[in-house]
Amino acid sequence: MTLDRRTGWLLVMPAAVITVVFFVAPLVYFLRFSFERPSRTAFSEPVFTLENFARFFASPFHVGALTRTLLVALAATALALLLALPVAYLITKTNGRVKAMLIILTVFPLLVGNVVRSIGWVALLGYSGVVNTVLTAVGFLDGPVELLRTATTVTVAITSVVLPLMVLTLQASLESVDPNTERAALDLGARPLRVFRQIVLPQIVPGIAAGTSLVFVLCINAYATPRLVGGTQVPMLAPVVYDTISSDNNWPFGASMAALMLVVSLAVVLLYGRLLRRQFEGWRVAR
Amino acid sequence: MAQLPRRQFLKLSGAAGATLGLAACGGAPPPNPGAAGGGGAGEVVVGTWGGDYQKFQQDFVEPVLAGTDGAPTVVYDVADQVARMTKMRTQGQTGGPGTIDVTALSDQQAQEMAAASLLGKVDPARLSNYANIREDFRNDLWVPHIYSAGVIIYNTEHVTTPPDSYEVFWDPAYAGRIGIMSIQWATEYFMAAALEAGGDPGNNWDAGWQRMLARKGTVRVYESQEQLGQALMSGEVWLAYNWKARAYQWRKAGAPLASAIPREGTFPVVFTVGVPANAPNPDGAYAYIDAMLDPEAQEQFAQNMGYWPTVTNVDPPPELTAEIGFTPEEEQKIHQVDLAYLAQNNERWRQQYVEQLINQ
Repeated sequence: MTLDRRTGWLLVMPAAVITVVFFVAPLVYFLRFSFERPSRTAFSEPVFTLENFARFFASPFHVGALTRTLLVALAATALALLLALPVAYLITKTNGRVKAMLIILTVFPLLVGNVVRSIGWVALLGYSGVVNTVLTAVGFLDGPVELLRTATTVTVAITSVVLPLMVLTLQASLESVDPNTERAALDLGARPLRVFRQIVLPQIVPGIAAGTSLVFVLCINAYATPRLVGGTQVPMLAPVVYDTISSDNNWPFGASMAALMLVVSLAVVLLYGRLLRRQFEGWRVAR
Repeated sequence: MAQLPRRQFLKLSGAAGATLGLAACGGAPPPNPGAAGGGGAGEVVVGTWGGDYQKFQQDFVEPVLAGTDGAPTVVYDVADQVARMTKMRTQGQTGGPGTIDVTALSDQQAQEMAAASLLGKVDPARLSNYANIREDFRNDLWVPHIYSAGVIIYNTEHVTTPPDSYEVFWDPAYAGRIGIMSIQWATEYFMAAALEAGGDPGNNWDAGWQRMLARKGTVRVYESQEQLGQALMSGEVWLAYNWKARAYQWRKAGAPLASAIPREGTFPVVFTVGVPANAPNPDGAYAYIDAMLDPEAQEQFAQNMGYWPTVTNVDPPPELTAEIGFTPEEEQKIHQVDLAYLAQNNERWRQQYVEQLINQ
């Protein structure tokens, strides 16, 4: 059944209105602060200025927070992709109850909030946590060491948060790969690893692009995990934005950082999507 | 099941939609029975910290309030002070009525809210217990609830010589064993400035900044009082500069901790309550605040939370006085601070502290 243009518009309208009223309008309203001056008695002083952006790029702390956020997001996305691929592939190769069980196990961490999971990391890696206690007890360490509040720990913790989403996205993509293409390659004598690399992988490029983009954006905007696991000593942009607005009442500077996060996220995702598609298209045609 | 006629359904849907629309656009809130005045009846919304503070408010303030004529129903709006201040600013800046009747803040934070004209003036005539408040704590913009002062808290197993100066925080022997908090920079600024001045630093807290920078890498940073307390109790850190009340709480939990007021002196922290300028039920707010000043409620807070009463008609037992109170000699070492000066510099100090001292 095809809908005529008018009916199509009518069906889209409610969602479009809700999006514009409750998402786009507040976003635009908020982002306008980024071009205004801070005020002690109001949200902002309504003048047009680029001072907030100039201040951001002149501050090693804030540029460092942006760089750290991008690096942590990149590392967590890459790690999640590496870990999720075999799991997603395994799920597609199973059937019935086993498949259902594996999917439930994958989804299960999503039922626990980020905050609770982060507290789990603190209990695990804290000064009196399980890891320090065990390593000290077996004589591997002379005494507890600082495992929390490092960029590496934050990366691992964020990866654990986004991993289920990556697995589910890749699994959906892998399900659409025709198994006959793999069988044909195996029949022709290709080893399983080569089949995965040359037959399966090129077919799931859209899934990889979707999964990594989604996860990357979530990582860039991570708040609870860097706050709880990294504390103030691993400053990432989302907690810095929150502190700037809530502790300093500096809405314009906070809004300018939020605008930068938005622009950087969009730019990276768009460029990356184009680059990935072009690379794999070329690769697929060459093969 | 009875069918709803189509016309009636559309009418109801329209009414529901209009109500939702009005609510989304910030339409008039439902009338608050207490707002009309008359003994503070209705509902009083108390913006407060969660945890023990709220629990003790429920346990010790509410029974006093319940004994008054026309006592309002108490609803708690629980959040940390930063979220509460943001809410007050946001509501204040958008105009219209607020949602908080009583706001609990530290004196420094109350000063910030007062400077932004977000607190209403205190009317002593509406508080029967006002005359009992210590004179040096009286203020026309907020009401002091409980207080303590900064002390050196140390682990008696590792710091065997009781410290008597802030110099201990710069002692290389304790590098890596000193705890500070990312949310409490004023104490650290005061300490460094007092050391620099050899006593009361007055309004020159920046004088100690270079000293503070020398501590980079020698301190462990925690995000909350609870995290710092855990670190002190587990032996992760041995020294911290914090409120005497906190030392009492952690010692009660079994930690081998003691506290000392340094010879350079210290400064007080007063936890206050105020009535926001846009409070919907000021009568209820005054009734609640009056109950907070009740001597019985004040003594219970002292015993259970370790903060000293702000009213003079309480006589805590001598052993409690020794634990959380201050002798006349110690009171001499508690320097009053210029809260307006602190509020003026707070944002800059926070940024400097986070960006240059505790950031990796």
